[in-house]
Amino acid sequence: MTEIGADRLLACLDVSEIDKFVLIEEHNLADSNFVLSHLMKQVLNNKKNKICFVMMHNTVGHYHNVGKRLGYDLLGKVKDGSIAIIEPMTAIFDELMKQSYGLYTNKVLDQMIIALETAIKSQMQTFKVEDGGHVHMIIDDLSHLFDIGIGFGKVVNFVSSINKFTHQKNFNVLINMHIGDENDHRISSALELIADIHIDVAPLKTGHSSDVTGVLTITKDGGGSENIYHYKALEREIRTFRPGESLNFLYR
Amino acid sequence: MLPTYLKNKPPPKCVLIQDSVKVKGNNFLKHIINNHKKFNGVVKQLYLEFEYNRSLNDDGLLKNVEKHDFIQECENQRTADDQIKEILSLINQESCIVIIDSMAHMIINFGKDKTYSLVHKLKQSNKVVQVVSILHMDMFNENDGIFKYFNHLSTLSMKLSPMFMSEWPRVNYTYKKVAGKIIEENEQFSFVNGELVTKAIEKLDPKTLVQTAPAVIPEALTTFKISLNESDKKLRDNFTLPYLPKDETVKQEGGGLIHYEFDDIDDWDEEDPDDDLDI
Repeated sequence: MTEIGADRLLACLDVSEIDKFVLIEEHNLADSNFVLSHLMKQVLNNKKNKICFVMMHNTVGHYHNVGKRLGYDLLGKVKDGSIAIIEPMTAIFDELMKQSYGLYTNKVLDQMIIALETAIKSQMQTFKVEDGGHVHMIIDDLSHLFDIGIGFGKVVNFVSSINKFTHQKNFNVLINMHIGDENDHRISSALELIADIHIDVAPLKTGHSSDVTGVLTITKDGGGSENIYHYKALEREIRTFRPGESLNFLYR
Repeated sequence: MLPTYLKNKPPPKCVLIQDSVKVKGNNFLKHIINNHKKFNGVVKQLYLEFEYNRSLNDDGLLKNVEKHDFIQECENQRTADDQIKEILSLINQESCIVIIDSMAHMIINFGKDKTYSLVHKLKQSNKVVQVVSILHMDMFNENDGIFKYFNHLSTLSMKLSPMFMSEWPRVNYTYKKVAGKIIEENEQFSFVNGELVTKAIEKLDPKTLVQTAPAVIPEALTTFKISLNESDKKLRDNFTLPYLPKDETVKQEGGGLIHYEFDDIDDWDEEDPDDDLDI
C-alpha cells in the first residue's frame, strides 16, 4: 500500500535527473517534509547516486524513521558512504557548549556560513561518482539560516555559489524552504527564477478538511506547466489525487 | 517599436531589463547578445557573472563572449572595492559591450551606492559601447528606491509584466534618445523563432464590446422554467384579475345593500325567526 502511494506521489511530482534545481516551498502550517523524503527514495533507487544532506529542520533519527517506512535505510547508506550528512545546528550547539559566545556578532555569523559552504564543497569533492550516477545536494531547510541571523545578502550568495555547481553535468540541487516573512519571500523569488521545478506545499485556503490535508502545486518550464494536486497525509502514507477526486480514492 | 530601438546605431547606452518570476527576462538578454554577435561582431562582449545563469550557459550563447566570474564564494572572498577595480580595469582595454547578470546580485554584493557609481562610470566611459543589465524586481522592495535610481540612470529601461487584456506579456519601456526626446511605450512582446516581435496593445472600444457581447438568454441561466409557451400566453391574456373593475355596468344599489346570488347548492330558508332580517 505504501509503495503504491509513494510511487503515485513521485509520478505526480515528475522530477527527473534532468531537473538540476528543485525548489520545495512550504507555506504557513503545511509540512513539506514528505516531498523531500519521497524524492530521496527516488534518488536512492539508483545505486550509483550520492547525496550530501544538510539537515537543519529535523534530526537524523527522524529521516531514518521516515526512510524505513518508505523502504530505504538511511543510516545504512551513511555507513556505505552514499549519503553524507552535515548538521550545522548540532555543530553550532557544540561550539556554544565549548565557549560562551554571548551575542552573535556579524563576524561569527559570516564564519558560520563560510564554514557551512566549505563543509559542503569539501564533501562534494570527496564523493567519487561513477558514470551514470549523480550527486544530489539536499538542503532542509533554508529559512533556518535566516532564523539564526544570517543576513539576506549572505544567504543569496550562499545559494548562488551552490547553484554554480549545477554547471557540472551530474550535479543536482534540492532546496526545501519555509515561507514565513518578507525575507523568505525575497529569497523564494530569487530561487524561483533559477529553479527547474518548483513544488509548492500549502494548506487549503478555505480551512481544514478531514479529506484533504493540503494542496501540492508543481510548476515547471518557468511557469509554463502547472499541475495542482490535493494530498491527504495518513499515518503510513501520503495519498495524492486531483482536486475533487478525494472521495474516489484510486488506491483500492 | 522596441526591436528597432534595440538595434539602433549607436545602440542605447544603458539598457536595463526589469523582470520578475512571472515574466522572465532571459530571452531579452539572449536576444541582445545575439544581436550584437550578428551586427556588432567586432566589438568584444564582456559578461560579468554575478549569478550562474543556466539557461544562457546551456544555449551556448556565451561561447564568443568573455565571461568574468564575480560570484562570491567562501574560499576567495573578495571585497567589493577589489571587484569594482577589476571591472574598471577590464573596460579600459578596448571597445566593449558590458553585460551584467544580474544587477540584483551586484547590488546585494556591492551595495546600492557602489553599484550606482560603477554603472554610472561604465555609462560615461567612451570605451563602453553599451551596458546591458538584468534586474530581478522581486528581490527588492519598492521602498529601497532601487528601481527609481536605476531607471533614472538607464537610457532604455524595460519593465516586463504578465499578459493582461493582451495576447502576449507586456513590456513598458522608456527610451531616452541622445538628442533629448523621450519615448515611453507600452507594448506586448513575444519571441518568434528567437526574434523579438512587439505589437501595440489594442485599447478595447466600449461600444464594440457591448455590441459584440453575447446576448444573455435568461432561460439558459437556470434550470427552472421561466419562459412561457403559446398556450401559457393565451391563458395569461384571457385571465381577468379579481379586483379590477369589470366591463359590464353594475346597478348601483344604494344603502349598502348586499346583493347575493345563490349557488345551486346553497340552502336558504325564507324565514325570519328573530324578526330582524326584513325579508
